[in-house]
Amino acid sequence: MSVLFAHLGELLTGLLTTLELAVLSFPLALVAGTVLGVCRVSPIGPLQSAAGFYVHCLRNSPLLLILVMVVFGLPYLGATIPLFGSVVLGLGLYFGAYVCETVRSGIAGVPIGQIEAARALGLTFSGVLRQVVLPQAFRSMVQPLGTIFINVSLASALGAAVGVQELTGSARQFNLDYAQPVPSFIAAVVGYLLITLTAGQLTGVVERKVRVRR
Amino acid sequence: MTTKTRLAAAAGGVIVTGALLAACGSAPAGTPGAAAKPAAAEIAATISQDEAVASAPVGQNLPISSTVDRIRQRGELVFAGSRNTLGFSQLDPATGKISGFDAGMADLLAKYLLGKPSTKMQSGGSDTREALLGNHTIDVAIQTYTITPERAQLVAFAGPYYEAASGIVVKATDTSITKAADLAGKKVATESGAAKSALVDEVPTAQPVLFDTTAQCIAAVEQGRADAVTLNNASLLGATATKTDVKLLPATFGKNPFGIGLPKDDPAFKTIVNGFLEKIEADGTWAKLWSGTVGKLLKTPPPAPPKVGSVPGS
Repeated sequence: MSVLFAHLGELLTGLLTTLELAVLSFPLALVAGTVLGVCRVSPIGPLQSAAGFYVHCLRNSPLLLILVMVVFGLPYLGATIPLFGSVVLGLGLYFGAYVCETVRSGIAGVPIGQIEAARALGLTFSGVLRQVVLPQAFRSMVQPLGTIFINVSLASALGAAVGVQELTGSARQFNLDYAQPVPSFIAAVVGYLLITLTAGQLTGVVERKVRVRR
Repeated sequence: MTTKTRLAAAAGGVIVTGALLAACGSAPAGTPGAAAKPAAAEIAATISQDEAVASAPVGQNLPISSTVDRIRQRGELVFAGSRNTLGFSQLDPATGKISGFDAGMADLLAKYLLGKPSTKMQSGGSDTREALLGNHTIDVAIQTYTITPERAQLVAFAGPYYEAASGIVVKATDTSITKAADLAGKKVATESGAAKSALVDEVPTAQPVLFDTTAQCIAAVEQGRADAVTLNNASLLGATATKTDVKLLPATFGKNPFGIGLPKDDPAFKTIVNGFLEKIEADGTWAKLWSGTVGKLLKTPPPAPPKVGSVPGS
């Protein structure tokens, strides 16, 4: 155990990288997912199909495959993104598909009467979305989005497989250097728990603040 | 979304993935005049430990050891190994056979203890070896397992049975890197563990970029994500044997003594395995195994085996 405390710095650096990955990927997933979700409920057929196609492709692939495609596949198409950026992009694209489905269910939770009323007031499709539907939808989506954030931070562990040394990678490296499997993995678990429990608490606080009372 | 669209999406996804994976496997365009090199499968097919195992010795009058009793009751040797290290331990998915120097070492040890080379491989990566040996899930670890004093506090090591050096792979057009010292300040793709430690010990200012497999490390250099790859030179030989856009430098550095990991609580077993290593080194089986496996990649005569117990931790 003492050797673990002597090298806590390396693990903390890994924890910081994990946090960076999660905090940068999640907004990307949020933007991508919202755009996709709006496409899927829009009245335009091709947009619906394209967004649906994307979501089904991504949700039915393992994340590791997506990351390997972004890291090793994109260069063949002439786009070489730095490794850290590749992992952020891969996580964002992948979890965007999950956010899209959350957005859809949030939109479905808005009473149909409100949408009809907004239409009757003469609001356009984008007006209905921006002023009536999405604000309420997001307020009801806080819990599922919190869950997605937790999933993003845990899934970022796959970054270790493609050259981004985050918490899991640091723990593995520490174990290989000092042959301390149990302490190193316990340290990693504690690190992930710190992130996920904090995220869970924050989600609860935000959710209580913005809850729609019907 | 109808079922039809869903099926179309699934089919599309499979096609796109297949195309991309195919692209990953093929060399990028723009290597004109490249001489045809043998495919990895052809090289793999030449590697075999069978000849060495066929003429290998069987242990006589071994001391009493609880691990050996367990192995004999089970009728097979359970070892931690790898599936994807060409030359050391490579699984042929078609036949289910694992061939290479490490796989052969496992066969030889099983034959020495049981009279027949019956082995069962557990592949759990390199993270779990100490834990699996400690709780007797596996009998031995034969997995390019570098002997270090830190690891020797948790497990016992027989050997060393092989002395590996780190090799360097760079782009075929690269002339700026010719030896280990040139890696200073450069991004170097490697794998965590012994390979990375050897790099950091030799060139403290190099920036290691860690990947999971040898193939990914090589792809990182091909795509310009890293300036060089360092791993043990035998596995690099296997990985570069089929490629024309990267080259393996003649220069090597560092020393990685590979040992056989054993449970710490059975000193008699360590004596037995060290006796086994000394026996196969003396009767030529070691050299025969080397020629049938790593020697097929290195294409040099077999070296003198490292002396048992010659490194700290063994």
